[in-house]
Amino acid sequence: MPSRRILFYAAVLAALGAVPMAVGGFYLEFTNQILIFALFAASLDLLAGYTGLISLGHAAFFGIGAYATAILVELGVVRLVFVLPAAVLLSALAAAAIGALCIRTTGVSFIMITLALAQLVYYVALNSPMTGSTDGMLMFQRPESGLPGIDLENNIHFYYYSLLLVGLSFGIMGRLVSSPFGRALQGIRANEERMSAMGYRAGTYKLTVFVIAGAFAGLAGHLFVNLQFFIDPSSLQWHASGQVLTMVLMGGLGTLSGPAVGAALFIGLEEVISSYTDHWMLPMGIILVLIVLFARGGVVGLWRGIRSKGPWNG
Amino acid sequence: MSWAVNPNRSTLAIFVVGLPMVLMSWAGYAAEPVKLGLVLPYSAVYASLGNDITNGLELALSEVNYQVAGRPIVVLKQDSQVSPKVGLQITKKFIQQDKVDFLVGPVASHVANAMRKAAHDSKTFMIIANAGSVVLTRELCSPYIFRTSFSNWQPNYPMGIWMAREEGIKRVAILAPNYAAGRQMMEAFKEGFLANGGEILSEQYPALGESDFQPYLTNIAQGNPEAVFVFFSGADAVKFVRQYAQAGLKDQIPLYGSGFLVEGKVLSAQGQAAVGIKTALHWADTMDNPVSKKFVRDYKAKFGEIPSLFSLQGYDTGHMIIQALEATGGDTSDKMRLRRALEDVRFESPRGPFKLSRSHNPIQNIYIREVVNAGYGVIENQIIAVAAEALEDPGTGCDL
Repeated sequence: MPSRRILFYAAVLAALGAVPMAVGGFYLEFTNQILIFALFAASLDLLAGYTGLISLGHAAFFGIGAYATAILVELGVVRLVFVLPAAVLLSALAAAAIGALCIRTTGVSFIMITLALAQLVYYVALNSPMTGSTDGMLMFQRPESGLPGIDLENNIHFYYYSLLLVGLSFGIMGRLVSSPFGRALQGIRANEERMSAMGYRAGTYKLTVFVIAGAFAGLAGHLFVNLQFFIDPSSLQWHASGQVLTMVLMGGLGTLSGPAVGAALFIGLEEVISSYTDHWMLPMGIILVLIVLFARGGVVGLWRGIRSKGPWNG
Repeated sequence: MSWAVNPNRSTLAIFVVGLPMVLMSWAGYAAEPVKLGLVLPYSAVYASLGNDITNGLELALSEVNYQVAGRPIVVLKQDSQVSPKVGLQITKKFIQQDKVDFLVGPVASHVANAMRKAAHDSKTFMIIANAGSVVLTRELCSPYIFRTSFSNWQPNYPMGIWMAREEGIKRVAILAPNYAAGRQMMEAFKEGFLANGGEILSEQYPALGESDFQPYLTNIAQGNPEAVFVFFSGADAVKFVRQYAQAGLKDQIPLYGSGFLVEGKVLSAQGQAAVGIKTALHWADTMDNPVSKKFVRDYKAKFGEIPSLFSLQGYDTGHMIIQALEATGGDTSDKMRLRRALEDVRFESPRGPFKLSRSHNPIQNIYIREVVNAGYGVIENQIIAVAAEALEDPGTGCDL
């Protein structure tokens, strides 16, 4: 039922678009953050869910997008028309370089090599004079839109800017996964040898999706640093990669709505639990274990299971 | 119709309806709490510092029963984890959601730097109870940012001069964690030390929260310096001083530092390994003045332990807020008035008379302290010299 689906997404977009009219300040920023992490998690799901490439280094591209934005603005390149493409392009380039090495391996080796190469990027951020090392980088202003009436310094304007980019990205990713290219990726996930035997060059497909995923992660990083006015190396450490993978698993691997739901759930739970206790990681861990044990398709998988054939069969 | 033309009845109606409203709003205003949002570490390398500051602050607030000028004081706390990212998130939450009147904290300079924009832009008063980041009272100073602790320049600059002149030490190796405070403190030390004929043999910056200092110690020993000057604090300070002694360097090369190296719980954990270390700081718990003695006694009675410098800074932060609120009659809405009240705060602190400089940093004496065995198993810092009197951070680039 594609029409119902489109209606559903239109409703979600409309609801998100109405957020600034209902709330401001903290909750607006909170929603903005969920949008950004929804994009970040969905970009990882292109790899982990659709292609079967579990990456533990995805935060590196997020970080590169963020640092590229912050460094350009600090150097005085404040026009958005330069900053935004540069951030996305640099993340994509880094993803091409790292991906070219990683896609030669599969399984556990792939996990380890993405982890190792991303830690390399982390140490560069930690030790480079450009990035302010441990102290991180403060942004004193957001890039200038160059359009009359649109001032990204205004948090509502910035929210719509984020919503536009995240919405477009989800649209592109949605088309991508249902295209022949996306079908081929899912074929590679199911059986790489058979796809190769059928004449698909699996390596090229994997590298391409790695670069696309890296570019979207970089876009999320670009939005994140603008939201926070701050970036430090902890955002591209392997913890951060693990965290975004957790969001994907919570929401549901192999779907696009799953990572978005997972990001909202993760950030929401973190917010709620951490206001009661500093040890928020503990209940969070228990919830994650329960989801992995009893809802193998994540929250979205559970929901679909309930709708089709009862929760425990999916 | 008749009620409208009868003045007595309408007056009565206004009175009956209006008076409770006036009373309610007055009572509502009077009961409106002043909120303090504590952005402090309760975990990771500086956990003990966060706890000490909180205790000191609570001691000061309990002296006035958490009540100033008719308004109760409410304290909100969240763990900054010594992370600029987390500290900034908490800061924004305190400002936007909880609408705190004062931010208190943080411990680490890089966390303070990350918080600065959020506090300044939202015109929320930020009382820094430790972080000495020099930029926050220099080029990035703000009408809304005050400090009750020190600038990273303050203890280290005079220490550089004192070591070169009074101790006759000319060749040193220096070491500090690789973050804003570490680098700023070493810069300040070099400024004083190099100008007095000193020479830096090696300069090393291990990561904040480093666990193994062995490679750095080997490097130091190879250079054969006359002394080693370091800045470490919290868990880093415990590990460093212990490993320095274990490596056998304690009796070969004298260790100097900024006073955080051997302060409070850190010193108890270091034990004998710390004896003989000379450091510079603006207070010592052994200081011989009545205010300091009363503070140590009260703190010990309430928490069962000797206060550290960090406890003191929390205590003075509490007094600063209390006094400013008393001066404005509990009004926190007039930011300009509250700012002036904070700038005019004067009181007898355990460290001596408390007074802020133009750029909102305390003007204070810097003492040289030596860790000694005081008998009966007590190890403590004793003041052996005054390195600088009424020292004011230059506040370069601040035009407040």
